[in-house]
Amino acid sequence: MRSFSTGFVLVIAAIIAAPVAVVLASIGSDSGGLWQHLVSTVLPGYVRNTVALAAGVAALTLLFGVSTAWLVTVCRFPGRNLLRWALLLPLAIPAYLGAYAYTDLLQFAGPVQTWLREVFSWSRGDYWFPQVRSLSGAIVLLSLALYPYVYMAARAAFLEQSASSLEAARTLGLGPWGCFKRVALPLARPSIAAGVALVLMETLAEFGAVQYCAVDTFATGIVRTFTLPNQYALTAAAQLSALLLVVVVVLVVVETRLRKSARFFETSGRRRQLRAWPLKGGNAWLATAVCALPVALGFVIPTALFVHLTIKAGDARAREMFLEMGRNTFVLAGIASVLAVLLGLGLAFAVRFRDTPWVRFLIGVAGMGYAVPGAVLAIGVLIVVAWTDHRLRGLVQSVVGTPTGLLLSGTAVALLYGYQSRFLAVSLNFIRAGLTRIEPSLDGAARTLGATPMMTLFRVHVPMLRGTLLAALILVFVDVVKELPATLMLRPFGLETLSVRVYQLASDERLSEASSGALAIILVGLLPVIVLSWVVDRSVISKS
Amino acid sequence: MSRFRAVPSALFLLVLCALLVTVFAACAGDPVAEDAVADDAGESVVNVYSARHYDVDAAIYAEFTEATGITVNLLEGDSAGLLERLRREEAASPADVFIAVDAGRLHQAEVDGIFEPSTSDVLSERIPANLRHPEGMWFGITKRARVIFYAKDRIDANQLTSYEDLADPKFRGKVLIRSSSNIYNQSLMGSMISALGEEQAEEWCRGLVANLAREPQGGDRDQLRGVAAGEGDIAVANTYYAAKLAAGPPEDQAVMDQLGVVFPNQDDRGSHVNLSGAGVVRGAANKAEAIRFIEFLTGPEAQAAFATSNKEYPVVPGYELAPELVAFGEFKEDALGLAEVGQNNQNALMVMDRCGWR
Amino acid sequence: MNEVSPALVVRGLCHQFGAVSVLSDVELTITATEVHCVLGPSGSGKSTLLRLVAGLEELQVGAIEIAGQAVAGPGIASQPPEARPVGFVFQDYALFPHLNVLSNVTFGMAQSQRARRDRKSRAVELLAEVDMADFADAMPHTLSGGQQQRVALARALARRPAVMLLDEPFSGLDGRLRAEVRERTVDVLRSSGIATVIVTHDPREALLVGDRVTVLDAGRVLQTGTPEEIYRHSVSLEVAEVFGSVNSFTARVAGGRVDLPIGEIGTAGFEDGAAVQVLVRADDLRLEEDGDDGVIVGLEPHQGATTVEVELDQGVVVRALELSRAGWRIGTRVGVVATDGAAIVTASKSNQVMLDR
Repeated sequence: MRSFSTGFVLVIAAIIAAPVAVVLASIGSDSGGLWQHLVSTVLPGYVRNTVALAAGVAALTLLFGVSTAWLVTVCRFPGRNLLRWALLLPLAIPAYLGAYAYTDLLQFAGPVQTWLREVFSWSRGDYWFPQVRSLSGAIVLLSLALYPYVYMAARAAFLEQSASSLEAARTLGLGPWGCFKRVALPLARPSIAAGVALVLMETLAEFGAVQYCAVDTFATGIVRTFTLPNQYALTAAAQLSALLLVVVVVLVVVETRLRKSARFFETSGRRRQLRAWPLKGGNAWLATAVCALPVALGFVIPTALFVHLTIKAGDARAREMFLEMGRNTFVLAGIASVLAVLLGLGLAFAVRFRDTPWVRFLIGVAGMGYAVPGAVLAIGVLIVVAWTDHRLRGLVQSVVGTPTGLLLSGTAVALLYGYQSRFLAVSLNFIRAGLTRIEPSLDGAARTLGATPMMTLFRVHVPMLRGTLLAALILVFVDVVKELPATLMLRPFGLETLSVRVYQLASDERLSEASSGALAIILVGLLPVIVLSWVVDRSVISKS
Repeated sequence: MSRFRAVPSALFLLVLCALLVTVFAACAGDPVAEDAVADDAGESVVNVYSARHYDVDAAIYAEFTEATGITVNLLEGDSAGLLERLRREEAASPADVFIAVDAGRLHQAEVDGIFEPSTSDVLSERIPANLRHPEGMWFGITKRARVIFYAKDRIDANQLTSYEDLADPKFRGKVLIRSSSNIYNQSLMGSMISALGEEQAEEWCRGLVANLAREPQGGDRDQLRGVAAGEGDIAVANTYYAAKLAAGPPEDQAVMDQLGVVFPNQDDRGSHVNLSGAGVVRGAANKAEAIRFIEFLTGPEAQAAFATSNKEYPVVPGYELAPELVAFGEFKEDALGLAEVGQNNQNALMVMDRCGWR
Repeated sequence: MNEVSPALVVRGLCHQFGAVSVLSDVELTITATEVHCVLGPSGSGKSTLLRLVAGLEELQVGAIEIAGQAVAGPGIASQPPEARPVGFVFQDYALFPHLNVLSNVTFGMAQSQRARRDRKSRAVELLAEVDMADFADAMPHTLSGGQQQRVALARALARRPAVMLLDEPFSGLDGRLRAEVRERTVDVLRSSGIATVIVTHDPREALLVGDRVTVLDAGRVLQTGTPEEIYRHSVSLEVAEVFGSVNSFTARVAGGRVDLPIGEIGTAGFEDGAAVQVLVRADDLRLEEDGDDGVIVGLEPHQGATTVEVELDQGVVVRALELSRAGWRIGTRVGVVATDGAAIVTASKSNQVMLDR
C-alpha cells in the first residue's frame, strides 16, 4: 500500500506537472538575445508591478474577507442572513469581466465621468478621478474578484472555533474587538493564510484583468513575449515563467509551513455553536454597509451593467449562446471538476498515508500550474499532448501499418488535461486542509475495526469530507467556467464556450455585445456559488 | 444502521461516476467532433484554424458550404496560440487552412514551415502580387491601414501628414496609441525601421513616447474615444475600427463626428497597410477543398462582405467599399514587402521596449 | 494456564523514531483471558508498543504473535491493522463524528455475514452492556467523556477480537467518574473473557486492574509480574520507586543478614560478603515515639497520612509514611523500625557499599 501510494502520487503528479515542466525545460535554449533585452528593459517594471499588485491584493482581500467573515459569523445586524451567502457571489464573476465593466463605466470617455463633466461643466484636468486602468485599479478589481477565497477560509475557521474559547476570553475581560484580535484571529490565522495563498497564486497568474488595466506584470509579460511572432518567443517566455515560478515555490513552501503549524485537530469534546452578538443602532448599520460594499462592487454593479448592456445592445447570437455554449461550458466544467476532486482526493489521501518529503514535494509541484498564466500552461499541455500523440501515432503505424490522425490533440481530453493541470491545486488544497482536520486516531480506529485503507477512505474520510469535497467541486467548476486562455488554445473544432465567445467579442472591442456572454458566464457560475455558500455554512456545523 | 449511514457516500460516488459517464458519452456523441475526423468518409470538409474573430466570417463560411457542399470546421483562437498548436501538431495536424490577421504572423508561420505552397490560377489572377506569397505559401484576404485620427477642432491637419509627425515636439502630451504588445503596433514599428533605419526609427519612437497623452491602454477604439473625450488630440488606429465606430450607435457616431482622418506619408512611401491572409497547411488532408476555400474568400461574395460588413479593404480591387471607408477617401499604400515587416518584428519590439513604450 | 496458546506474544521488539530509540528488546506474553497492564511514565514507549501490536506502526525489529498466529516479524509479511484480531480503544476514543453511536458500534462488524438486524441487535446488546443503550441514536459530540469511552469500548468489542488494546483509556476522565468507568470497563472486559492490554501511567490503577503488570521505562521492560510480585518483590529500585517513596540501603551480607541503621534484615539467598541493596518502602517503616534512632527533620502531610523524614544518628535520612495523625514535630527524637518481612533485598549493582566507609 505504501509503495502503491508513492507510485500513485508519482505518476499523477508527474502527469499533472508535465506541462509546466516542459515549458521550463526550454529555459536553457538560446533566446537570440531576447532574454537579455527583456532583463535590461522591461523586467524591472514587471517585478515592481507584480510585487505591488500581489501586496495590494493580499492586503485588500484580507481586509474585505476577514472583516466580513467575522461580522457575519459573530454579529447580528440587518441583512446578515442575506449577506452571509451573498458575500460569495463575486466568485461567479471573472476578474476580466469586472475589468470590462468598470473600465466601461469609469473611463474618461465612460458614462460616469462624462456625466460629471456635463453636470459640473468640467473639462479634462479640472478634476481628479480614479483611473481604472492603473495599478491601483487592478488591485481593487482583483481584490473584488478574489476576496471570497479569504472570506470562505476565514468564515470556516471562525465557525469551527469553539464557542468556549471566545466565552473564556470574554470572562477574561475582552470585548468583541479584543476577542477578535487576541483569540479568533490568531486561531484562524493558518486558514486565512491558506486563503491568501490561493489569492496570491491567482493574482500572479491573472492575465486578462491585469492586461486590461494596462499593468505590466510577469503574467502579462510572459504572454506578451510568447505571442511575439518570433522563433525565440517561447524560450524567452519560458525563462520569464521560470522566474515567476521561483516566487511561487517560495509561496508554496510558506503556505505548507503555515498549514503544518495549523495541525490542531478537532477535539472530541463537546462543542457549542457561537451565539451571535447583537449589534445596535449605528454599529449595526455600519456592519451592514461594510458587508454590503464588496457584494455591491464585486457583483451587483457589474451584473447590473451587463444586464443593461444586454438589453440595450446584446449579442445577436445570444440565444444560441445560452443553449449550446452554455451546455458546452457546463459539461466541460462538470467533468473537469469531478476529475479534479477525484484526483485531489486520491493525492491527498496518498499523502496522508505516506507523508514523506519526496511525496510532499511532488504534490507541491503538481499544484504549481495554478500560479502559471493559463496561456503558458496551455502551451505546455500542447507540447506534452502532441509529443504523446506522435509517439502513439508511431506505435499505431508500426502495429496497424497505416498512420492515424492525432488521437489526443484537439480533443476534449487535451482540454480536460489542461484544466487538471491548472486547477488541481484548488481541489487538492481544499481536500488536504479538510483531511488535516480529521484526527489520525480515526484512521487507526477504522483500521483496527477491520477497514482496509480504501474502505477507510470511503467510509470515514469521504463522508466526513462531504462538505469539503462539494466545495472543492464547485470552486473548480466555477474556475473552469471562467477560464479562457487554455480553453482558447486547446479546444476541439467547433467547441465554443461562453468565455471564448466573450473573448472574441471583447477582442474585437465590442463590449456591449460581449455583455450577453458575460451575463451567461455569471449565470452558469451563480447557482454553484449559492450552493457553495450553503455548504460553507452547513458543513462545519454538521461535522461537529 | 451502519449500512444506512454508508448510503450517502456510496450514493455520492455513484452520482459522480454517473455524471462522468454521461458526460463522456455526450462528448463522444458530439457531431462536430465526428465531422472533424470524417474526412475520408466521402463527405468533403475543410478544417480551418482562424485568428479572425468577426461575425461576418461565420456568414461567409456558411455561404461557402452552401455553394460547394464542403463543410467548414472552424477553430477560432488567438494567432500565437493557433500557430503554436500547428507547430506542435506537425504534419498530423487536422488543420487544412490557417488564417492570420497580421503580416508578421503570416511571415512567422511561413518561416516555421506551417504552410505548403499551392498554385491557383484564380488566386494569382485575383490578388495583386504584393499581397500574396510569391510561391503561394499564403494569400492576402483583406487589408487594413493603420492611420492617424485627430480632433478636428484642435488640430490643424496640415501640421500632421506623416507618421514622423507623431514624434514632433509640438504634439507633446497629445498622442494616444495602444500598447506595444499589440501586433499592429509592432508591424507599424517594423515598417518605420524599414523606412528610416533602426537608429532614426528609435529616435522617432522616443519622440512618440514623449508625446503620449497617457500610458498606452485599451484598444484602438479606446484611443478614438479618448480623443473625442479630450484625453488627447491625436490617435492611431486601424481603419476598420474607426469605420465600425462611425457605423455604430449614436454615441459612437458622435465620437467619429469629432474626428478627422489622416492617411500618413501620402507624399512619399504611403500609409502602413497590414494584411489578413490565409495559407494551406503543410500536409493538409483536404488540400483541394482548402484551395477552394481560400478562393472563395477572395471571391465576389466574400470580398464584398469583408468590405461592407467588416469594413476592411478587400485585397481584390474593384469592390464597393463600406460608406464609412469611402468617406475616409482613397490613399496611397506603403508598398513595403510584408516579409520585411515580419523580419523586423524582433527589432521593432526591442526598439519599443528601449523607448519605454509599454 | 499454558494449554491454550497465549493471546499475545511480543518478542525482541525494538523501535526507533528517526534516531530516537523508543522501545528496546521488549518481551511480553499475554495469556488468554488475562488483563495485563503496561505501566510507565509518558514517553516510556507504551503507546508505541500498543500501536505496533495493532499494526498502526510498522514493525522494525522483533516479532508479534496474536492468538498463535504470527502477524509481524522477520520473514513474515506484516499484516495490516484491519487483518489483525485486535480491538483498540484510543486515548481520545476516536469516535467517528459523522456517525451516531449505534453506527459507530456496528462499523467494524463484518458486513457480509451478518444480516443488518443481527448486527443491530448485537450492537444494542453491547451498548446495554456498557450502559449506553439509551444513546444509540446520539451523535458522539453530544456525549460526555465517560460516555464516549464506553461507546469506544463497545465498538472495539463488537469484532470479538482476540486481544483488546486500551491506550490510557481512563486518562481523560476525572476522579470519581474515573474509578467508576474503570470498574465498569474491567468488569465488561473480564466477563467478555478477552485478553486485554491496558496501557496506563497510573501505578495504583495498574495494581488495581491488572492480573499482571509490566513496568516499562525508557523503552525497556523493567519487570513483569503479578501486582504482588511487582510491589513486594520489585527487582530494582527503579521499579520499587514507581509505587512511592522508597528507602534504599546498600550493605554487605554478614552471617545471612545485614546490619542497617533501621535494624537487622535477613538476607536469605545471599552469601556472606555479597553486596546487596535493601529497599524498604516508606509505608513499611514505623516510627516509635519512645525510640531513639534519630531526629525528625521534615514533615510532608498528605491526605490521611504524613511522610516523616528522620535523620538517623548514622547520618542517613529515611522517609516513613505514618497513617496516624500523631503530633510529629520537627526536632523530636524517634525510633525507626521496619515491618517484618517488608524489606526487598536485591543484589547491589555497584560493589561499593555505602556503610563500609
